Amino acid sequence: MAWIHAWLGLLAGWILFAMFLTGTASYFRPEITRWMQPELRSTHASAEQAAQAAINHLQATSPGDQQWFIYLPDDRTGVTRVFARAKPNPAKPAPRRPELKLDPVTGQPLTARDTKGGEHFYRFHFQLQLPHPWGRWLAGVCAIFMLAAIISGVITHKRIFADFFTLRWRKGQRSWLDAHNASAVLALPFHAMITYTGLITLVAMYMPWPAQANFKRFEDFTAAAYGAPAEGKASGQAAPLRPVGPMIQAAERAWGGDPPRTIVIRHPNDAAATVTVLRTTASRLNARPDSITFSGVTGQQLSKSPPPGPAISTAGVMLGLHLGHFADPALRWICFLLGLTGAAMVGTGQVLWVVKRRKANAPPFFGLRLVERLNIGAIACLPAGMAAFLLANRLIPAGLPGRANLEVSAMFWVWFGLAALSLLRPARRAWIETLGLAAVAFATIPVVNALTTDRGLVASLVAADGLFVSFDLAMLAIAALCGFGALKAARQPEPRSFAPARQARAATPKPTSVRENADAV
Amino acid sequence: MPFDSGLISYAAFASLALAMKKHGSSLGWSALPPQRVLRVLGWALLALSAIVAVARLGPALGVTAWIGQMCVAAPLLVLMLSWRPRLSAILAGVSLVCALFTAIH
Repeated sequence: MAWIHAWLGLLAGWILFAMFLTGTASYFRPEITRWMQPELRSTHASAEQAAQAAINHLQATSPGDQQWFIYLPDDRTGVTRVFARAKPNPAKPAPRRPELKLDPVTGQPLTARDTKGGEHFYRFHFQLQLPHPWGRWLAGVCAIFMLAAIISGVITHKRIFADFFTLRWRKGQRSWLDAHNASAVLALPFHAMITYTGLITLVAMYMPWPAQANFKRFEDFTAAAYGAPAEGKASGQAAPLRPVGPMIQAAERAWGGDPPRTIVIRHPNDAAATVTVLRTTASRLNARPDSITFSGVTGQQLSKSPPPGPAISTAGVMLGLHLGHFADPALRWICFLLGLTGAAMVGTGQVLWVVKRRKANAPPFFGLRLVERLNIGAIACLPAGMAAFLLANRLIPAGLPGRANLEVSAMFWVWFGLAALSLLRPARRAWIETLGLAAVAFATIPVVNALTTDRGLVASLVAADGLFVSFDLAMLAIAALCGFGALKAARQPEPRSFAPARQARAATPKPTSVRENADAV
Repeated sequence: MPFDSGLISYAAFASLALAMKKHGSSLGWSALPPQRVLRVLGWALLALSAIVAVARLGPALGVTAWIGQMCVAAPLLVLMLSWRPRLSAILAGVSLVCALFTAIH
């Protein structure tokens, strides 16, 4: 069983580490996007005000569309987003229009630098920047490996309770095992939950057969599961769209005061127009929103989503647990720290595989060197790449065409480039230098931010801009963490000498005795 | 205070850790309560941290928040315990006082 754990973990580990790290960053998806568009400042508007302002804009620009999607602003996003789908035109298909960001109060389009923002980390953590089905499949395979590694790890861990609180530093392999055990066992509920719910989120893709066996078309399945969408045909008769304010108020009353999150308007300005209001999922575990559909002409309620069955509710809660949209800021930081624990579990496991197999008096065999190099590339170089993504956002000119993709390229060039360059250095130096570079890159972010925007740390402190202050402080904390890793790697005894254990033993009594003396005084 | 459940569970884990011989003796304090008392106290505090979270956020979000905060408190305790054992025990007291203080306000 132990070998299953070691090999499952090792083979999926490099990708899992990247999934954990970028997935952890995705807990702050809207916040990262806002940081990456420093031109925009959030303004507060009520849901009714923002919805009506967005509709006024859409009425002025594209009143004859088939469908309007309005994503209302909340405390986290701060802007209204709209997406309009034109009527299907068989002769000349209209080009897909980009999503627009609107000012919540005025409804005017906002212009900001083009960026993928936090969406990039989010997409990467389950699509891995691969063409469509392959990234999701690879992520799924790795998640299955992770789940199997969690179960086999619990079974093979002989001293789960005896070593529950044990972490011994400076003891070589012993320390890595302790760190791996502690990060895995102490946050085990989170690791199991996030792995399993991640798989369940894409379960309809990984295992489509139950739905295929019972439904002719996939749409029939979704209609049976989530209720049929209001898909009436346009009547062709023009009729004015009623104001949405009363509809939003009616929906809020029906939901016990919960605000709406999204508004979908079908066939605007037609006699068959419908307005569907979707409920927010903040502060609820179930991430599947319920909805109410109104007639756009009379304002009467036409239908509401059926109460979900137990299976759909369960799936919605699992999705919600994975996404963490329910979390208030305090709980979101908890989720973030838990995600880092997951990355630590995977990273220490990868290192442990190497440390365990390294012989003191024999040169490392090829597989060992390969794994060690891949570890450096995955664990030490990815953070540098993520920092490069954020730095590129500030350094690439705001008006440059195609800059959003350039930012993404910057992340991968730095990540893989650094991994390739680190091959030129001895493994131990490579650890120190790549981690050190990552620390420098993260520490540079607040500096570059202060130089290239007017929202540096001091200005943000003065303006009481919590988001930008926290972001800078978080970057400094991550830099400190990477720097700590580099320092620890630099202080490690030479791996190939005979004396790691002896050195460690010789080194430990000194600081403890000093401390004990100090405490005794 | 949104973190009171986590603060209490930190103290709970500290108590449970000190109830173990190898961690309790690492403090070098002679006047530690007996192991049984520490163990009972630890479990009681852990239960209290669950009650606090559920009372504050309701059963669904409360249990989620409790487990989440517990899973962060435990690694933090282990890091502190391995770095500065005495400080980790003192912080357990401090965190309880903080939780109590925010409960009053």
